[in-house]
Amino acid sequence: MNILEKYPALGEILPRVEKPARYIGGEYGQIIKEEADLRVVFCFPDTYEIGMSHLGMRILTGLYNDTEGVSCERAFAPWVDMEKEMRQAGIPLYSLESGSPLKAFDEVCFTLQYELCYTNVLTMLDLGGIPLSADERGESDPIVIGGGPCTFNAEPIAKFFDIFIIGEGEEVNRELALLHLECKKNGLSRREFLCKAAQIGGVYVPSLYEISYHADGTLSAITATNGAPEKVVKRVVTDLDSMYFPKSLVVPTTEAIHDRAMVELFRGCIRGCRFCQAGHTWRPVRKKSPETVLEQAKTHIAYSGCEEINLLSLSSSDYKELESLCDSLLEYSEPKGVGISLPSLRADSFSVELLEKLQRVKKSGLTFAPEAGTQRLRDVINKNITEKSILDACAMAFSHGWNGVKLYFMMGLPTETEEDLHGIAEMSNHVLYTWRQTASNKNRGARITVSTSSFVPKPFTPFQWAPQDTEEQLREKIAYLRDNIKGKSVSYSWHEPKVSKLESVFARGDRKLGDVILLAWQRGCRFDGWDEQMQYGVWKKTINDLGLNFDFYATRARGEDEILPWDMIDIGVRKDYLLAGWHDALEGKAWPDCREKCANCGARCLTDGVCNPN
Amino acid sequence: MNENMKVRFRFQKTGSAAFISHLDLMRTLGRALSRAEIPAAKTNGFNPHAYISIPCALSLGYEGWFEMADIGLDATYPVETIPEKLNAVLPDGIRVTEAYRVTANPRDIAMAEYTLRFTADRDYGEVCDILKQKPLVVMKKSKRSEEEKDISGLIAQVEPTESGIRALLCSSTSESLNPRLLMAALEKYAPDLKLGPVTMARGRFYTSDGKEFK
Repeated sequence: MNILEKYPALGEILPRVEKPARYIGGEYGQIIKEEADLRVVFCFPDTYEIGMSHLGMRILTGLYNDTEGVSCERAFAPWVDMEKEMRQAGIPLYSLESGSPLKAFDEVCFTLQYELCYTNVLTMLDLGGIPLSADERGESDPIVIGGGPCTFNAEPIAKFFDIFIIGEGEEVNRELALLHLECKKNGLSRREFLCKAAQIGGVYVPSLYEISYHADGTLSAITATNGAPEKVVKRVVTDLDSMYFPKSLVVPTTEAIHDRAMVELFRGCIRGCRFCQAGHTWRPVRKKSPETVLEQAKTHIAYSGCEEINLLSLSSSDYKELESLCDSLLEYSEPKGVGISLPSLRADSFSVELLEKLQRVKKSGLTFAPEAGTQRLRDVINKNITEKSILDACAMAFSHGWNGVKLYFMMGLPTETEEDLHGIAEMSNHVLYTWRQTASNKNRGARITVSTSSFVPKPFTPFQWAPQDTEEQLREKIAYLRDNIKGKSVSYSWHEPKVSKLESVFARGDRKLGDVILLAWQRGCRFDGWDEQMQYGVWKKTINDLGLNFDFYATRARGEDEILPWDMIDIGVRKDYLLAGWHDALEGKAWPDCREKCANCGARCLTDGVCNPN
Repeated sequence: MNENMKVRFRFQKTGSAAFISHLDLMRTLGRALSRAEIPAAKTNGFNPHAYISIPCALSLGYEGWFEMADIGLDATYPVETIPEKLNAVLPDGIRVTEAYRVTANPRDIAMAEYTLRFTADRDYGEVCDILKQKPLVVMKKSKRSEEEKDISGLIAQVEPTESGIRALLCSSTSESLNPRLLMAALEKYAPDLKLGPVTMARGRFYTSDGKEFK
């Protein structure tokens, strides 16, 4: 379809906006299904380049389109310049495949990957012609559905959604779509459909839950109504080998951030770092067999023509067959000039031989995430890694010709002291010293990059009870590191604390924040995850204007017996397990990983006892 | 690249594909070659990819009807199969029309034909007359500077069509005229002329002696 024919005004608008190819669609691999009884539009509430980097979107749009009677198109958030132009010209937010306004669909599905995309959800609904609040929607409006990591606590945006899907979409989405088809055929009302949907495992219908509060603002009760389950239990796929995986993919015509083919190695993580939400919410550990990974990787390389394939997981080097898998994949990819990239390598299980092989096709840098500067603090966060293993890994890499390494740390972790910060500076010095001792080629000098992000306590982690540092504390810590990370070969960069602060408010927020998000959006907040767009002053003013404050959500320690806003969700991992982790963290006690010893977290109840840490 | 490996394919870039940038087009063609399993010669370097040369970059937002790209292919490769193979794997709006072994050197391109479609409140012939004035001085902006320039010598021909004008403009390695400057000239020399939105398209290429460049 030529989008200019549908909206001729775009001919004038597109030359004026940044990266117009974001808005034209027509990519190779797009699926256009003319006939469908249920029309779904899959929305990514950020720019095209970010959304098109997302594997989940590839899988789920494919899944819908492979379902009889269902079609699925795509939509992304227009950048601020384009939003303005579209409003002026009266162009609705349209799907890329058919140019239909979002309101023309039966289901509008958002994937919620991070908290700071919430205002973009409102932009997309509003520009798409859909009432923002779920309770203002009528029988002819689409059902608005949210999925992805943020739904483990989606309370701040609950008022804008009809349904949240808790867990893995491969499992729930088709079932929900089939129910929707049936309800549509039988002429059931919106309300009737939602009540029926709430009976599907993993489906959370927020309007069926009443929340009451104590005078101090904390929750006093969560009450399920209309027969909705008291706890919504996360759904997961048990067998990743037989799980749906698309044969084709849409190849972006303008460069995506991660512009490559992607296949997962496994879901979940054996490690259990205490700050990590994904490491807990995607339990139990389930792996794809190397045969499946290989076959899917080949299919997507051939289909897309991409120059790179990414093998994804939360900790790639924990995949036992990684080396042999890469060998087999290289046999296929190397002659084609297709490189393999492996994110999330751990310093303690990293193989320089493997990396060298991968370099034959495509050069890449080296990144490790020690996360904290001292062994004490690494024990607190359960990042079971030692400085020695990091330095050993660096020494090996330097002696094989690498001259650069990136080191990721987190600041503001629970129990952090100046000594721990000092440890970050020390470790960067030690890495530089290691380079001097071991580098095989010193002509080009060393490039050591230290990056810090600010710790954001997340629901369903042992740190969900922890207070976040104040903005002032975070700024002082950044200043300390700027003063103490020295040397021209070592550079230091940090994430903006404002962004982490707002993320923290939403991450553990409750339904009262819905009005804050709405008002801040009306006041012009957009793309809050982008440093240059984030309007921190507006957010602060808005939250105060509505009688709430950042500190209640971000810097307040939660009581252990407090009802948490996300307590209606059950991720399988038990709350008492998380609490024990919190207690042991405060005592600096690390736990063994899932391979060493099963800690009986509870997640295997979701897969009939199947958990495969090996 | 070895000269006897050089293959040129011609393609159209129309509709919304006009908004695919030059850089994105290079990547898109590279991937299409790979999807079609056409064994184009690769660049050397850290991240080897198919060697593609597009002699005349097309401005973002312009359609192209006879665009060209050069690649390297073994002398025995059946070039006539290229259009069908590529068209099966290209995005909407990009269509390969022909492919052939190359003799002509893009350095010999002297002119390109442009079609400008727009609505105007007077006859297209009158619009052309404005552009036939000598000198025709417009502000030429580049990344570094802004200077007055007489472009009349860069316009080889300009004539009315049913929906606008057609112009043959200088387009060589040393100098080329972007048809956007024709619109700037109209704005300057006929300030009362009312024009609707303009659609630009590039057509065929010509050598200095007026023969079509292939």
